[in-house]
Amino acid sequence: MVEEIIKKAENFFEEGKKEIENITDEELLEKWRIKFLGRKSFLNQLCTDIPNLSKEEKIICGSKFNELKKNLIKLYEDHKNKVRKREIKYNLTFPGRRFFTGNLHPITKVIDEIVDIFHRLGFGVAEGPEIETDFYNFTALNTPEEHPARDIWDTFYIDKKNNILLRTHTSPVQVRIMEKYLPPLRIIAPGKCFRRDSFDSSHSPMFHQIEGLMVDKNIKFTHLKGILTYFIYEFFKKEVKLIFSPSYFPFTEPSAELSISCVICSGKGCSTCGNTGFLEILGCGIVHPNVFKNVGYESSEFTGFAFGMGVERLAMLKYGIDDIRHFFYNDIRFLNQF
Amino acid sequence: MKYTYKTLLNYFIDEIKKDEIFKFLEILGLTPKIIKEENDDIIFEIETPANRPDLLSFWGLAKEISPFVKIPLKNPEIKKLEEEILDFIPIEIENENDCFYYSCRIIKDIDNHQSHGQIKKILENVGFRSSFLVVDISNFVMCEIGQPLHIFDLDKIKEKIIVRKGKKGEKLITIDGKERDVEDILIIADVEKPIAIAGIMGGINSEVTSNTKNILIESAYFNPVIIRKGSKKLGLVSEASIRFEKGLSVSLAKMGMERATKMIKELCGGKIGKESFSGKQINEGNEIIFKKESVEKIIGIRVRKEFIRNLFEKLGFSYKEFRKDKIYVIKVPENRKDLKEEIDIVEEIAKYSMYSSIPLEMPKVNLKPFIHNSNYYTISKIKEILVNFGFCEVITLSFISEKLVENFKLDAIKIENPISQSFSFLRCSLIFNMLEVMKYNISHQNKELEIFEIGRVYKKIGDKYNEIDSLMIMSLNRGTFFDFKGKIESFFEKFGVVEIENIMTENFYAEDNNNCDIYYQNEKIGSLFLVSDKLKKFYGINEEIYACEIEIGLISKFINQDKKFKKLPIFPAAKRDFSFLLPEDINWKMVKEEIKKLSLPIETLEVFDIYKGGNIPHGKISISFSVSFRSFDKTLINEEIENFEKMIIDTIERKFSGKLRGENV
Repeated sequence: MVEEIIKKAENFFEEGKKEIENITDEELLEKWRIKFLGRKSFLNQLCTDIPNLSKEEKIICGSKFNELKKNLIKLYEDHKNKVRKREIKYNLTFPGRRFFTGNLHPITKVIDEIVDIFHRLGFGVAEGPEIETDFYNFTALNTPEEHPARDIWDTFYIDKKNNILLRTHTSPVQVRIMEKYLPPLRIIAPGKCFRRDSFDSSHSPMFHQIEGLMVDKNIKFTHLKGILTYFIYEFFKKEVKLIFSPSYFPFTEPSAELSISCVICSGKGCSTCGNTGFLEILGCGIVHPNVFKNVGYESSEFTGFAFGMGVERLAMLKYGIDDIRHFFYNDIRFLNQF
Repeated sequence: MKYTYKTLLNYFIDEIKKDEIFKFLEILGLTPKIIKEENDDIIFEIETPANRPDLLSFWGLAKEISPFVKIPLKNPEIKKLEEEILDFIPIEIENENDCFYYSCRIIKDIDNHQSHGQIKKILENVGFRSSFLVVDISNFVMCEIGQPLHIFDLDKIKEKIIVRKGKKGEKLITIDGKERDVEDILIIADVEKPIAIAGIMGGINSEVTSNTKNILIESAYFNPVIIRKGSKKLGLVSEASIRFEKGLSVSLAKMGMERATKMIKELCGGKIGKESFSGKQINEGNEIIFKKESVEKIIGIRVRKEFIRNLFEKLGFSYKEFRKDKIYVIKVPENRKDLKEEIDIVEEIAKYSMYSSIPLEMPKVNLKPFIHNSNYYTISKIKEILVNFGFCEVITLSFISEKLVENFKLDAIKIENPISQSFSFLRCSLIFNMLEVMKYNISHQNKELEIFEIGRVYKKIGDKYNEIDSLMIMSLNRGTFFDFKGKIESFFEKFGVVEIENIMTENFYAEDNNNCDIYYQNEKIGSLFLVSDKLKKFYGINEEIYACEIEIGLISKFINQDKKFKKLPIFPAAKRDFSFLLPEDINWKMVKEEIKKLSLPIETLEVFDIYKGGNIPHGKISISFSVSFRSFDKTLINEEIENFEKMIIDTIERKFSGKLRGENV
């Protein structure tokens, strides 16, 4: 008797399970629900037989019925989710509506990045005039008149008779800052510079430089190497190889030129590095005692280092730009790439 | 200068591998650029420092690498030969400050012929055009030891050599065939005429030719500044001038004379005459006191005394050691004029210690507030906000063209030696080159843009050259003027500059009177305008362009103000919109002021629509604005708000003959 009832109930469940598989809409599912889970369902009908059973049989039968009912409910709930009519509010695969975004000029980005790196090292920002005097641009920097090294900087003059010119480098800022403040000094000075170069793919009569200066007691060449190595690692975000080699600038001694393994070809040799595997990045050195003398510092008490780098060159390397004029044409398609 | 590997080897007593030589040159920062490799020789070029004329010679370069090698140097053979004849030419130096030393020697009856063999080959390898053997010898001696020489045809010189400044109207045809005006230039002359430009180039009138039998060798030490000035003035740079202008020496001039005499005697024969010379006595070879501890102090490394001794000996320094090798008194060679003080010696030691083996260190510093001596951070803040508003930053050259300056009669600073007419003045406003950017982009089919530039503009006021940090913002086809103006107002609001005022005035760059100056706290801080047609026409632009010019210095104090927290309101606001018909030329500022005078609890008052034309009567304008009322101490009730509305409507109708349009929305 019990086995029979249970068998019937199980058959009923199997029937329900089979039927529900083919149901694809909500209406049919509702019919299924009434048939299998409704008040008058076969399972409920079978329940009417239970009172006739023994106590133990009642327990077996009741728990079986409960289990089957639970499973039917689960079948229903799962399937309800499958056949639910979905409302698509938007076709989300279509592209979004774009808004205009502005952009900083790549030169500004590179300047900001360099200033930021040095700021973290405790350097403050300084600036100076672009229309300079011969004194600040040359003489105070140990490059007196008729010094053959002046040929390195082909100069624009505003009023040659009165020694007014466009600064050819950011180094005059060093002098102006030292005249105004006593050591310790740590400054970084970005700015525009001018040289009588033609406007072609690798030259521009106006360009940007960043000058750095650190003066204190006990500053040494080893510190210059340390600070600049940190800077290069931070700027190129990788451990490039650095080479410091002797160079000549009138306002630093010893002077050095810093080259790094080519960031384009990793030192294998390419057109950017002229197949040498190395790129000249900046000039630097220990501040010449004559420069200290010219600003009234005691050179036996203080030492310092200075460095200067061309922003366009660094930006060209960083972004792989092949023509310096792009920076000044300001084609919006160019500017929006950075 | 160009060198060859084989030639360099001539100055060592034994062979050194070329890879080694190249490695040493790299270490010294004299990176060789290889020009040509042939057989077992290499021709290479080196850019030498401006203060090292001694390196412009084979011997000098060999000496420079000698501290690295064990093999000793082989110096060029210098031997004073006995004179064979008594002939000589007297010398007269007009000003000993122009020419420190001048010597010359006659050699008679030479076997004059074209150059050949070794000397010809070496000279051609390093870029000289071979000539008569005597001339080639003089060039060879210059390449070898760095002393420029000149060979005159003796028979073309009359009586004596005079070193003097060229007189007014004096001219000389130099050996390159060009006639040169030599007025006020240092020249070599005989009693009748100029025969050479001192230290720069010889004259055709005294040049060696195939008929030359008797020659005069010149070896001198000219004032480097005079040579440099002359070379610049004439626009004439020669192998001789690039050496003289860097500063040579008397001893080198003497050496050059003996070396050339000996080689001419050996290769061309002839009879040697008496050397004549003139000049002032100069103490050459600087004396320098060098303390070993300076290397540690400046470079951060310790050097051994053996290293120092080897270096000084190889570089030809004579020295004495004091206080247990801690102090050295050095006398440097005469031709090392770059070595003047202790730091120069420190640099030599650093160079030969090799920069690559100097360790890295981070400095220990005193923590002090940074020196900030610039507008940099103010400008960065401005740029960041403008970029967030969708403006693209541009950077243009600081130059403007002569044509522009003339066309608009601009008061701009002129450059005395511009590279071209298009870059011949400094900009007095950012507007010009930004319009150029607009034009460039329009012609590349980019017709919707909003750009800005921050840079200096240059103005001469009296004798002073002023540089002003300026900001210019421009808009093309990105909405109406009021969309643009809204962005500018929002820009100011970001800095807490909320109540800006506008006063319509004239502006040189604006179309008619389409300009309003921007005032804040009764100070003019900029202007907002429609770019004038005449300016746009100059750049070939037809589109309407809106612009805003702001002087950074005038707003920086607002930008850098620290913001203060204001308590948030507790009671709700009530917003009411109004729409009025008003006379077209209404001054909105006055309307606002009148409403203000009512002393109502108004939180904000914002215009959201301005409309003209269509169903609006001629001469009228429709202005819609929204007012938010809020009290700080209670919730406003409906009757109060209705009363406020009435007061506003009444004021506008009464004072500005406005007419409320329809019902309040």
